[in-house]
Amino acid sequence: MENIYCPSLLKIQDLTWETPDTTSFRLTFNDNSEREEFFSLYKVGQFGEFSAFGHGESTFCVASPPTRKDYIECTFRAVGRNTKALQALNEGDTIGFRGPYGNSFPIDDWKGKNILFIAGGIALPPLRAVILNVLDRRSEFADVTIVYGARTVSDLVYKMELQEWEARNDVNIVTTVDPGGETEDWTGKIGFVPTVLDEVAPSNENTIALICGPPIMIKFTFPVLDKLGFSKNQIFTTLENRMKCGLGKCGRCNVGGTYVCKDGPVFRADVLAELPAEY
Amino acid sequence: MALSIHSDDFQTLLDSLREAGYRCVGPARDGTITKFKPIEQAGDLFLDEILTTVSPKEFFLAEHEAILSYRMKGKSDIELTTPSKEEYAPPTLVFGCRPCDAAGPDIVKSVMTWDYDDRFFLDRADSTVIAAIACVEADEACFCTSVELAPDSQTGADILLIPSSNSTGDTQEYSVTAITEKGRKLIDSTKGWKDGNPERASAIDEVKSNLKPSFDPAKVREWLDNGFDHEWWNTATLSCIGCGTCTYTCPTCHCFDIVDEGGQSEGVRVKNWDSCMMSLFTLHTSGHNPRPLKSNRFRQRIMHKFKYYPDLFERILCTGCGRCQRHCPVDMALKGLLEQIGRLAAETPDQVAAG
Amino acid sequence: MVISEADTTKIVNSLRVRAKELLESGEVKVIIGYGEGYTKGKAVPVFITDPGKTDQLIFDARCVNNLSMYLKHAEIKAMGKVGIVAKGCDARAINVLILESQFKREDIFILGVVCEGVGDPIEEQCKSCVANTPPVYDELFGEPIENQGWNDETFAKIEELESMTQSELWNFWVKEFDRCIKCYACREACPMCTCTRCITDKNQPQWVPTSPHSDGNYHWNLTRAFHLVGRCVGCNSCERACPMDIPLSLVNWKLIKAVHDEYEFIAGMDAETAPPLATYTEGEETDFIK
Ligand SMILES: Cc1cc2nc3c(=O)[nH]c(=O)nc-3n(C[C@H](O)[C@H](O)[C@H](O)COP(=O)(O)OP(=O)(O)OC[C@H]3O[C@@H](n4cnc5c(N)ncnc54)[C@H](O)[C@@H]3O)c2cc1C
Ligand code: SF4
Ligand code: SF4
Ligand code: SF4
Ligand code: FES
Repeated sequence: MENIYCPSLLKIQDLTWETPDTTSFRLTFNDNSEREEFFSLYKVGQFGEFSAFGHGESTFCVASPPTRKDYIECTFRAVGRNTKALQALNEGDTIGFRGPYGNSFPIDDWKGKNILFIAGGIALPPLRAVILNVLDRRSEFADVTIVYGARTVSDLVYKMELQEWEARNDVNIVTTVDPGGETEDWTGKIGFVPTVLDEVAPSNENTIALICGPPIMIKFTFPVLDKLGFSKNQIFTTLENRMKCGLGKCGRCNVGGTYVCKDGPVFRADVLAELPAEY
Repeated sequence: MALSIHSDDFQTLLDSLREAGYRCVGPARDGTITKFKPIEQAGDLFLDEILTTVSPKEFFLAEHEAILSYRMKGKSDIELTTPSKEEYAPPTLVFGCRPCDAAGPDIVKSVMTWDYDDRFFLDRADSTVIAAIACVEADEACFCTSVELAPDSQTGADILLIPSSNSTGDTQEYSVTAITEKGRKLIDSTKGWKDGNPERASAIDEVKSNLKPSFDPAKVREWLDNGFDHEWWNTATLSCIGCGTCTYTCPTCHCFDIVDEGGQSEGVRVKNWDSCMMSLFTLHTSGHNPRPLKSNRFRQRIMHKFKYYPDLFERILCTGCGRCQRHCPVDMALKGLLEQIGRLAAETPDQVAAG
Repeated sequence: MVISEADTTKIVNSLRVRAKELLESGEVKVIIGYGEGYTKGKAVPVFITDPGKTDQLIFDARCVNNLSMYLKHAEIKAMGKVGIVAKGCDARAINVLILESQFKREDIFILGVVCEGVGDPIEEQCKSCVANTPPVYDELFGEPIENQGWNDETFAKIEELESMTQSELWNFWVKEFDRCIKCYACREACPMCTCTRCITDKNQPQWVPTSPHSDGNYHWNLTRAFHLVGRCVGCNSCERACPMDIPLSLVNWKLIKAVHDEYEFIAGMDAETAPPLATYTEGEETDFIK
């Protein structure tokens, strides 16, 4: 019988420092059949368990889209034991990976619709996979709008990609930093994400909104979306409950009777509203 | 043909088990507590107690086990090894557990096969035969009959021994039923079993009729459906000290932790028992905790057992063994609490309907 | 027996009356005391907020738990001023907690009860109780009695262990600690384990291996012991809570003895005497720090 806890081995092909404490890895599978198996299953929004051996495993969303099949990417902040150990690794080093786990964003249902991405801080990675996936299949969707904010300019992740997206004329991107977080040459907006969203005022018509960010941002963004006429079934978000197995066995990630590792991490806002506040 | 076994022949059984390649684990003393331990001498079996301190679940879900070992090869290559079934799941007979303990692994199996198969649990379940002994005694904490089991239920057992009226204090004859193919095979390949159909001890049926169901799990589940925010959780759980004893001694609690032990060059990834009664269980690195209060955690435990698990798998995650009550340092009696919920459900039908 | 059955009834009655008054006047918001358990014959902690319900209170030899451990719970702190029924060991624990600034003396109302020992048969530590009359209270229930005090028997078991050879002692403890399942019931039951995050729950570095194997168990049990030196009041809550019946009191009393031999200090007798292991005096020997 297969050992569901046994990870695949992946090599760090590329390492990018996004911010002083946030790193992105581009990872390649040591074993090609494991790569093929991964991509036969993977859909955007899913997550995996990333491990520095000797330090444990951490849940990160897969930040690259299923349309790019040579590698997977993840972006993470060093906060605890394993994330710090991962960050201490170098290009060429090997890490463990299990996944893909959980549900995904139902983007095939969104063909022909406008997509609005709202992200704050380190929470862009879960949406980045969707953004890239949508851009890789650009013709299938209508308007694409991205509202992304961070505390300071140096806290913005994927700076290169932000520029690329800005350069495209088929993407409407607005970046913002909290007041006081700007630099001299900052050309984006200054203000909190909910306020900026209110200014941008995207239409709710035929639109799907995806929102990821710190709880405080999410809390203040919902009323703005409500004001803009979005109903809860047009809004998607993700949950982060503490996880160990990612497989529905270890029993710690549930919100009420819903296991975030299996029925999540992606939730439509109306479904989320039905769940008890255990997240 | 009807079968029986006499306690005088337990040694014969044990010897032949060893020859047939089985290890036998049974209730035995360990200091002042009792637990399931490897048994070689029939005299070490301790069958007089209603229930051992800890359940035999460790023979399915090890308290602590390596699930992987890693070793650095060269500068950046790593070799991973999964322990082999032979190492962690030797052929085993769990002898002399109670029917409630036999039901434990059968109930837990649902989650262990939920979309993904946990081989450590399943391999053990596969190579383990359970021979349960029906109960001739129950105590105040027992409530198997409230959760669809009984002092002589067959759920999860491969072999059921029913004490007969032929006993002399120290010795006891049992009638034997092979319930599964696995049980039948074990009986066929070992000795000590005899033909015969001794009369069932009347005590079993006395226990059965005295142990009236004390709540209706369907009613409890209905109340839980809408009772998440009920004030009752806050008051009823004040005395809980959050020690986790209830979950560690429980035959159905199966939550675990995964941690790495070892250094940079080699080590193991281990799975350890964990408990929803501890605040660390759900604590994020950021310090945020979705279940910060003991009432939240206690609610999780009851909800998981009597609502979430039944919702998912149509099984109650509790065998009514009563260990959580017997060993709780502050007598947080699950049975009593469920009776309270049963009364709340009866008193407040409006709350259930209105939500 | 100094306290007669009639005295006990009187104690319980006056406890009930006083608890009722305290709740009615709003002086305290909750009374923590003992009541009848669900299981016949067991006494359990009860939390009374309704002045009409103080008749639940009982006090007798079944009241084994050290109630002062609840004072560390967020749920209790959130309730407002607490009135707590305290026997000698509970009161000593309260003294230690006050000394360690866990709360202020005026934050709680102590309903001290004179206690001749708990458990049936009477628990070991009660036979050497240094606080049959609680050392601190706002109001005392029962007439003060003389303390049992330490005697020849108090440290008999410890001396027996001390006479073992190193390897005998090692084998003894390995065997006992091997049963540990790392449930941490001992920690949760202990009034002195007040850390918001226990060192075993810290993983950077991983001071104590989290696994319940010999190494992890040994680490945990010794760490627990070290953190209680000069703080443990010997109430036996940890040992009573331990589902694996590990004789934790042997660890505790060894430490109690060592602290007394070295500093003539007994924890919790008052809330002023500086605890020797948390105090540094100038000129103190420090050559043991290598
Ligand atoms: C679905 C999902 C997606 C995530 N995606 C990302 C991402 O893309 N980038 C990123 O930086 N972080 C992400 N996180 C958070 C990330 O999992 C934690 O920061 C990480 O596990 C901390 O591990 P550690 O070993 O460094 O911390 P420690 O505190 O040393 O870890 C101990 C254990 O705590 C658990 N844990 C601690 N915090 C969290 C948390 N916030 N969420 C879940 N488990 C936690 C883990 O089980 C870990 O094994 C995600 C979490 C979830 C649930
Ligand atoms: S054994 Fe009792 S006190 Fe301990 S966590 Fe369980 S219910 Fe709470
Ligand atoms: S919850 Fe309690 S009664 Fe039910 S199986 Fe577990 S220990 Fe036994
Ligand atoms: S209570 Fe007993 S079994 Fe539990 S952690 Fe403490 S010593 Fe170990
Ligand atoms: S992470 Fe283990 S059950 Fe969800």
